[in-house]
Amino acid sequence: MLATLIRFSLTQRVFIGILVLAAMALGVRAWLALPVDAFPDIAPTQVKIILKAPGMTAEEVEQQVTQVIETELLGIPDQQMLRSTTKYAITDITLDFRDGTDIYWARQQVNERLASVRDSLPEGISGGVAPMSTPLSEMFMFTVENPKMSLMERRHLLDWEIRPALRTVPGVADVNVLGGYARTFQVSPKPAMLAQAGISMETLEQVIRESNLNLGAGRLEQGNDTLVVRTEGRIESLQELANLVVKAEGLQIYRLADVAEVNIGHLARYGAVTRNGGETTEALIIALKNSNTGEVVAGVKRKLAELQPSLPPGTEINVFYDRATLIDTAIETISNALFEAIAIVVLLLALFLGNLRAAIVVSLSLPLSALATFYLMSIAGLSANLMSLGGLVIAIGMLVDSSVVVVENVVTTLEARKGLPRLHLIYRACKDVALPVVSGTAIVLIVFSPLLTLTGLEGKLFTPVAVTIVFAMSVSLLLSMTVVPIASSLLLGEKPIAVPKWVHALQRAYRGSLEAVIVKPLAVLAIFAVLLVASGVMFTFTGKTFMPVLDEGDIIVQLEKSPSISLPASVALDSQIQRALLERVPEIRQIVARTGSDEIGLDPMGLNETDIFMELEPASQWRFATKEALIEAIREVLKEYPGINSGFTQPIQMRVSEMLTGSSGDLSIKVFGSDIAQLAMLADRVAAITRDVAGSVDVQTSSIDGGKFLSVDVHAEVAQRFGMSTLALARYLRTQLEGLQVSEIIEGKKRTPIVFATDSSGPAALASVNDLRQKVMVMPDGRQAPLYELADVDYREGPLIVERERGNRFAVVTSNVAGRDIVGFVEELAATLSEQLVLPSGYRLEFGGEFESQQRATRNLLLVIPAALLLITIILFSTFGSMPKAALILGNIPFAIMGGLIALFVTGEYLSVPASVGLIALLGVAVLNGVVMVSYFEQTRLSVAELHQRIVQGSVRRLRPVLMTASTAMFGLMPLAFATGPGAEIQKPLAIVVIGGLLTSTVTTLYLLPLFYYYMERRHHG
Amino acid sequence: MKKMVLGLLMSLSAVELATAQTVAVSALGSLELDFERPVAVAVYPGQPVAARVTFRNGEAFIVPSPGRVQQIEYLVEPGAAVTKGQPFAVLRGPEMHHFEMSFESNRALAASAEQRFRSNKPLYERKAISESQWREISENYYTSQLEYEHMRHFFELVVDGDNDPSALTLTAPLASIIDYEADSGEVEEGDSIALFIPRKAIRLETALPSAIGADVTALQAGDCVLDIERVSAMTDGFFIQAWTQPLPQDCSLMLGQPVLALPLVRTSSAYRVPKSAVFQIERESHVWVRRGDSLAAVAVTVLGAERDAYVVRSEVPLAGVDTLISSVSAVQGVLLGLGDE
Repeated sequence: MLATLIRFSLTQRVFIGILVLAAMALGVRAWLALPVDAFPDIAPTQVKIILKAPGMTAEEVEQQVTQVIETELLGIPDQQMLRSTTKYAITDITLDFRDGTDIYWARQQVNERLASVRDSLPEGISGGVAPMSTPLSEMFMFTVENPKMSLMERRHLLDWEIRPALRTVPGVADVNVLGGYARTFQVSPKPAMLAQAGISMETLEQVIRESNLNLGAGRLEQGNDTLVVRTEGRIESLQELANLVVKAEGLQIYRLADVAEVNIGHLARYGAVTRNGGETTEALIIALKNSNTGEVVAGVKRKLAELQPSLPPGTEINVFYDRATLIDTAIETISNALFEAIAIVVLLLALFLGNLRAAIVVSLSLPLSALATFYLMSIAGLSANLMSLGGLVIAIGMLVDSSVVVVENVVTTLEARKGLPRLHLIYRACKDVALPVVSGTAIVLIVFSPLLTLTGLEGKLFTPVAVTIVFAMSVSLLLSMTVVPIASSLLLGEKPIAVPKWVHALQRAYRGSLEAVIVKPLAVLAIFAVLLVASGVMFTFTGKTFMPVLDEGDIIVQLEKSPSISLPASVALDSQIQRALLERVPEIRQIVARTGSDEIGLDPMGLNETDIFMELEPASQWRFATKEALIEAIREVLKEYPGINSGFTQPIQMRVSEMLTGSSGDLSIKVFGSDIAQLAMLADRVAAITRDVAGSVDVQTSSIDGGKFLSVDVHAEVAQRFGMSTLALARYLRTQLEGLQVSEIIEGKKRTPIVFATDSSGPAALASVNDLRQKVMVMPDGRQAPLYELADVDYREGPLIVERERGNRFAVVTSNVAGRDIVGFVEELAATLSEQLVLPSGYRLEFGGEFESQQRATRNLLLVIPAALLLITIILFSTFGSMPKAALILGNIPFAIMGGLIALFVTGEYLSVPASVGLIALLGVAVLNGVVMVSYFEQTRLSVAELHQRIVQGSVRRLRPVLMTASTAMFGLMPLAFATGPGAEIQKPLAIVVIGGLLTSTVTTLYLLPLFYYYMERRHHG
Repeated sequence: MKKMVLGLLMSLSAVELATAQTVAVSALGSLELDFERPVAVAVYPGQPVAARVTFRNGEAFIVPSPGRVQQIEYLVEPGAAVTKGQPFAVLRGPEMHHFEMSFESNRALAASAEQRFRSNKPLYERKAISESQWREISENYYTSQLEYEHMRHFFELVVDGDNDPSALTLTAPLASIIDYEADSGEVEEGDSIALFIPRKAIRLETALPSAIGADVTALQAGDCVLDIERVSAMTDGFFIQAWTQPLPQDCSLMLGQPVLALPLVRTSSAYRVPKSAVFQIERESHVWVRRGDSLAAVAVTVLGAERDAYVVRSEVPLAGVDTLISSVSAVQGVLLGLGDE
């Protein structure tokens, strides 16, 4: 079949040429159309339910909402994880489905289950299934600045002008608006006036609801016409609302303004946004799952540019986070590495082949493979991202291997058999190496197959790498059997191509050294044995981690303050810290900080929690050489603000961590149990022990207990005399404290809620517990009574947060790990915890976060790599028909891995998932080199009888292809190893491992393999 | 004596307990530490109560109708200030003439009865007439006098108007605020034609929650601060009726006006502190006060709130003591062990 393919290609050169051109065109088109992103879609199929339960404590929400829904959701098939976070007035339930589950099916399932329990939820619950986004969907953030506009005006502008416009951009799932004051028409009832007018709160509410309506009454037939009759009462302005008649008795008409203050107010605030120390308003664009990030961001920018002229004069859209910047930088880094790798490989080919034409023939496979890979990526639905393009960079060195072998054989054959027709010689040359080329490529493809079995985050990250490599290698193999023979026939000249002199010199030196090794092998064997042992020792000292941290360019500092802090106090502290940071760290261009919860509830932080987002100046303007040094400088400033917990993260890193574990941080230690106080105590103990373990930084315990609530217990005996029920009392108090929406006013496209609330700066505002006790209530029957007569007001304690996984409560301690590997850290921590912490019955610990992913990845790889090795063994056995020879080639693997481990140790890199992928890649290259060498020994078995001569001649003959494949692979990865831009961090360990491994495996291929083959053959033949 | 010492010790230990939690200022890094000195106050604002501008029973002068009146034309509006002698209403109808005739008739009858009384008195003293005759004369005399005086008082308020025999023009009996029911129908004899409330009788009436009723010293309604003059000794449901002193001239509240009033509650050991100074530990409110090189948490009870300040009660004297008003929650965080990294 291979022969037929080669023959067809050589006889149908024009046709193949046309096919190649068409493929190139498709490739170019695919490249231009490929969705571009920083990362592959790493989010699982995830459905979130966000429900708001105004006024309910965390424990009440857990019991009456979270548990009810969780029980219902537990039956949904294909779910992997069900977790929830319940806080005051909000619950956030997340359901992760198995990979590959259709998101629309999943959402439908969740919606159906939610609908079936809706009726059993308490009154006043709002919300539902969250927008179809992923944790990485927050891709564009900006604040609205205008010194002439108040915070309320800016918020109104965002809510009703900018947000609706941006939601029309394709790919935008929602626009989360934060900060400022959401405008309301505020009705502040005057209890005394209501009592004198004999109007109850319920009546007032009912009148507003029932008056603010436009209703159809039917149709009136008048002669030949039909007239639609409508009753119209919609209120359209504050003045109309104030003039609303709430009671008419005789000549006395009570209007709303007579019994209540009617003015512009704002919704109760659950969060705020500050910029450089002052309050502002922010919008956060959430993209749909599977949308094209680049296109969405571009669309948002276009829409904002369109909106700009219509915004009030002086309005500035201050963009502080643009995912496109990260994407551009990361893609630029990886693209540069790709082009540099191609240039290096072409140069190496030219050097080794000593002929530009031959080098061009071989190099042709690079752009063609790349373009065809882009086309295949577009068909497979892969985006161009750090990982998929990284896969291509990794493959660059190996892409030319097949072509190198083919072209080298063509050149050799053409030189050796000058008399025969040229095309025939090329056909023969290609056919001769077709099988080893295919089997070699198959080995490489098999080697990368374990990556396809990775699950979780590591699977989502490295599957694109493996798929891209498989695509590229498969295409390069096809090209080596089709385009390369054609190009050889067209481009290689008539003149024989001589081996370059430097290669000759190299061959001579190699021959001498190899003969010396064969004669006196002990020294070399001893050196390799020592290196092998040393690499094993180095391995134990090499840190293990899950994934290198991608430098996203921006920094987020997460603050946690006293749990009972008020929003103004929290904002005041944030502002203080921001001013200090801006003053003392000039590398920070601007700071935008979010305190408390967002509007949608995707990230329901408490009022004591703040995410400080820092936009940095270009690194060239920094006083520091590294970002770590900059972070240390920021940490020093933060240390001067005691009483506040702080932790460092980055926008994507934060969301990925939260996606993995529901919390942020390299490592999360979850304490499972039932009693909140006990969990809190254990979590504090775990945190204290963690802090004592070297390498722990930013250790944080979520404050789950210590929530203080004012409990109003109704004296039913008294309250019922006035018709005051617990519900009525709760509603009344809500009007006094948080506000109660009773209706809304529609002004064009703007909807402004009408809210019963108390003017927070007025004399009737409740500003203390004593005020609450003394509050004079208007009863449903219009009479009055102070609250203390109707109810006891007292403090109660309860959980602040209830976090659950699969229905079990837990407390979490998070920690970042600095200066050491995460696995070593966890091992030490686990040992310390088992010594120092005694868990009560029913309580258990679980380690999560990146560590969990790392462990899972290791387990997966340890299962699959042996299977891949078995497959390789089978291929080798079928190629050589001998198990010892297959074993001989496989014996090269430890030496390849040895080099990789030494390289990791020397460069100070950790053994991470990318480094493991590098080790996997090494298996292929090491085996491939062995195949190249041993297959030649076998081929020349009949032509060269003497074993020593056969091995030395064969080795020298194979020196050039072995060095070419090794050096192209090695130098092809150099740009990645030395790349410094954002995005380079992830592929760097991989490149270092492969380069190190190739160095040692090439040496062992050139010396130990011939040596052991010699011993094996000599022993075999006596 | 023993009790006194024990009490002193207990109060001292309470103070110590209240200030047991301290944080060294040196441990607070670069936190902005602003201080303010609380001011001692004698009252704090309670929750607003309903009040009404009114007068107490008996403080108003009532002009009753001498008979059935068909029409009254009021010359001033209810609530208007009138001077003594200022015409305020014209009573119209045929009955007015009858009133005048009746008045004249009563005057004549009274004069006649008086004359008869006077002439018969010496006879009675000499026992010239019988006891029963004298009783009849006396009764006749006193009855006619009473009827006449009754009419005379009314007619003292009548001035000459437009010479219309069917109209009587009434004048105000004193400088006051007039009140009448503008939409009343027929006025029968004895019905009130108008009320005249002296300015010094106009005050706020309110119902105070019984728990604080005795401690409220004044009511604040808008810019008017009015001392409580009387508090009822019995409750009406959950409330106690209370009246302030009369409204001063510069207090522009209208009679009958319902107002929302802030009760100013008497207290002791109370201080005004900025709202930003108060924080919570366990179930108690506290403030941080400077004690040398450290900040001590002092327990306080929040009594009431003003716009930017609380009135708090403290066992520990706070007047003039440096009290932290910024970064309070961060210092609280230090106490909770936050930021220990």
